[in-house]
Amino acid sequence: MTPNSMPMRRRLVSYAHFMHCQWLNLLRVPAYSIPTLLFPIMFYAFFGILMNPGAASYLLATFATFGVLGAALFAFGVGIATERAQGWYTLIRATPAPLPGIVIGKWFGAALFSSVIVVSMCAIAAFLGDVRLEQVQWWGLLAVLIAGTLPFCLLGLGLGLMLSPNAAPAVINIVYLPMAFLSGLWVPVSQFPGWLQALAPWLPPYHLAELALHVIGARAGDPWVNVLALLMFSLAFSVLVMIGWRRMLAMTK
Amino acid sequence: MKFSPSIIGLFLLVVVLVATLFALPGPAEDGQNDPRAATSSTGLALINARVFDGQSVHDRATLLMQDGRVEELLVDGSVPEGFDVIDIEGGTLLPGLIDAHVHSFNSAREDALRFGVTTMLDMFRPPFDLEQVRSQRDALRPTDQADLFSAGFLATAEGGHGTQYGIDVPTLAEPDEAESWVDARLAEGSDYIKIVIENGSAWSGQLPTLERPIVEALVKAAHGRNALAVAHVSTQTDARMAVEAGVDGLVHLFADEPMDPEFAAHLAARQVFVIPTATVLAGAHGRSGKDWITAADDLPARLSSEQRQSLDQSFPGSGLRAERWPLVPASIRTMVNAGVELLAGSDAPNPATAFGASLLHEIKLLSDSGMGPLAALRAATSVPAARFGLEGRGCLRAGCRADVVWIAGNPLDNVDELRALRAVWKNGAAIAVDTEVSAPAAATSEALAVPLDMHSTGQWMASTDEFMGGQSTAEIELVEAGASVEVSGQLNPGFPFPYAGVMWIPGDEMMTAVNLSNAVTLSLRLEAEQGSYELMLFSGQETMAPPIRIDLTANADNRIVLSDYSSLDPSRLRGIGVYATGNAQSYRFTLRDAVLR
Repeated sequence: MTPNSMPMRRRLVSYAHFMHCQWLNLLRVPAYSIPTLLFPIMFYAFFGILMNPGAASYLLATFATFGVLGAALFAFGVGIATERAQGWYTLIRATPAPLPGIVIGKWFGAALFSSVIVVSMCAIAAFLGDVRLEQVQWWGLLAVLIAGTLPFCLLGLGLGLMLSPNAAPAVINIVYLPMAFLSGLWVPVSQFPGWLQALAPWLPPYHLAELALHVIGARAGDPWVNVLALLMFSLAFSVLVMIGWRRMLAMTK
Repeated sequence: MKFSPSIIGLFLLVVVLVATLFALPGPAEDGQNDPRAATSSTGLALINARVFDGQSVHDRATLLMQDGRVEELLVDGSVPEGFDVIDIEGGTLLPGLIDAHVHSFNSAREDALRFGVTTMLDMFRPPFDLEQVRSQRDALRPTDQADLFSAGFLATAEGGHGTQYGIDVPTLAEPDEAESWVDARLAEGSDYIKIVIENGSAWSGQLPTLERPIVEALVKAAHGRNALAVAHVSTQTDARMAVEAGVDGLVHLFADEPMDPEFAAHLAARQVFVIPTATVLAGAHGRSGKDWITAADDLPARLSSEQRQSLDQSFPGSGLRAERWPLVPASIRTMVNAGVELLAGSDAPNPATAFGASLLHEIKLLSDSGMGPLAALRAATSVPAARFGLEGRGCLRAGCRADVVWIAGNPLDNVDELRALRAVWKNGAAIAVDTEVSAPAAATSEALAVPLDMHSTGQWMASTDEFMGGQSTAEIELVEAGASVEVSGQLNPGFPFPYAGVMWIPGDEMMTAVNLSNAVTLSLRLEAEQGSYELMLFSGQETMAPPIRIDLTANADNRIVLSDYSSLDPSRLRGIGVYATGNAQSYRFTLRDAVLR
């Protein structure tokens, strides 16, 4: 064991602890976890299966996007804003624990939530909506949607670092719901009037939904445009995060 | 590191997620656990049957089915041992029918199958699931869906016909794009190439369309790759162009002018087939097949709510074209006499058609237009199978698919008896016939083609909130041509804001709203004893756009200045409704002097 490897190993163990803590957090506040999980799944069951028979597979892609979008925005946005206001991060800074562990823990929570949402929706789609996909497509949908939460984790993080805990849920809802609708997550973009259709490509969830639709075989084009767009959005939101991060460090100094 | 209960819980959650994903069904497994599959190992014998085998008729024959295929057709009527037996006495067996012109969306394949259509040739749909569609139709396992062959995307010009449905169709501008365009379609899984030649002139419009050099290049590219090339045309001029360009078939009969007998002879000589789609043309000329379909005892229970909806719809202004209808059967007769090969196709789900049901109506129309029942049934079985190379379909001989329709009667004597549909087998398994969907009553009563002063055109239709899930009723009591319309009914709770009354449909162009941008005011007189009344103006690019609602005064002259309503689009006026509103009351009103100025 070289002297250098020691801090890295401790660092990783510490990250694992952060992830474990996040999991405990979710387990111990079921009043938050259960509704957050059920909401998008219920939404899909009503609008994707009951109301629009025949469109279950298309809407699986868009409503699953809606689900992971919410999981990422709320875990980061509201979670970080609340814990920051509680002085929790000031305390962590006083300990040897690495600060990025906060982000890694939150990411783990968001990814776990997203997985539960996506897999539950897939199960509903298959058994109630008669959706049939190849194994690689079921797994691909999960993989694309988990990886694709990157820009939304960053957006949530940025907002969480900036906003007060009272403002966070309200602001995030007002970002989340209109963005979901205008990106065509509830109603396909092609059903919008022309001028509204033109807006969708400027919103990040649209591109994630396009990728999800690509996985289930509802899009023929080249998916790299959408990947690139999501990376660009991630870059833009990283700037937001950096500003917020500096502000937090300055305030707790 | 010790494993705390929470870590074990996390581990279990991940295991459950992974196991769920692995357990999710794939397309290939579909139907494997179907209880009906178990019975298919014992063969089925349909005895004492009149059998139309796709070509000719056999009396008192026995049809043996096993493992999804026809085992044998015993024309001597003998019954071998070891088969479950069903006595068809007095009935007729037909091969599963082939609808040669549909657009397969949503539950099309289930809906069609209940009416004995076991194979559909799609003439335009997004191609993204064609791989799955192919593996399903190649299989012989029990299924509740009709098999599908598809053109995938259609070939059209930018902004041309086919681009208006919100589907991103790859278009063509130059002949040298044809080869790669056809390659792309075949790679996506298209079974044949559909080319749109439509300048809109038959519908008094203007549309960009493919010119002859591109059509020729597409036909050449398709033929070079052993694919059929078929064309959408709606005028005789375009039909001639398509034939000169070398297409294999026309997927519509044109209705702009009668079929020229010389052209019909030319079609026959060039072996170009025609799919007249008479039933959708009937709908476009105010002769919807709905009454023929719903008058039967057995058919209505098979209609899903979507099928009822599309059957109830009408083309705007279709009543006004009624007098042009005889041209369609006359043209079919001309083609029959010339020996043109005709294929039955419905063009469902266009207005006034329904998947499956409308193919039965198409067979009737073809039969009544000079083909007779036998040739019309061939047009829905062996002829499309031969022209589109569909192996084992449209036939009932050893080795053919066990796709069978049981008619309780003899449609070869009387084509109307096609409606006595008793049972359908797909891949040897019986299909459940009744839809579970409770069928709502029609949203509108029968269209009355009575023009009023309101541009002395259009038609009045009863119209209620049933369309929105409500239960209000409306009935047109009396229409005085050019003077008034009297409506009565009941406002019932159901829709949060019940409404019922009458709707004026202005259109005299198929599938397009009407341009009334010169209209400045709408005046009308409403006579009623009680109640509150509302005017609804439907306009705009989207058919489903919410209407503008304006309160009306009863027993007074109402004058509405259209320019007061900024969201009104008089250049795309779709309908004007006059409705009683409120809760739980009967109403009766008379509408007079409705004039757009």
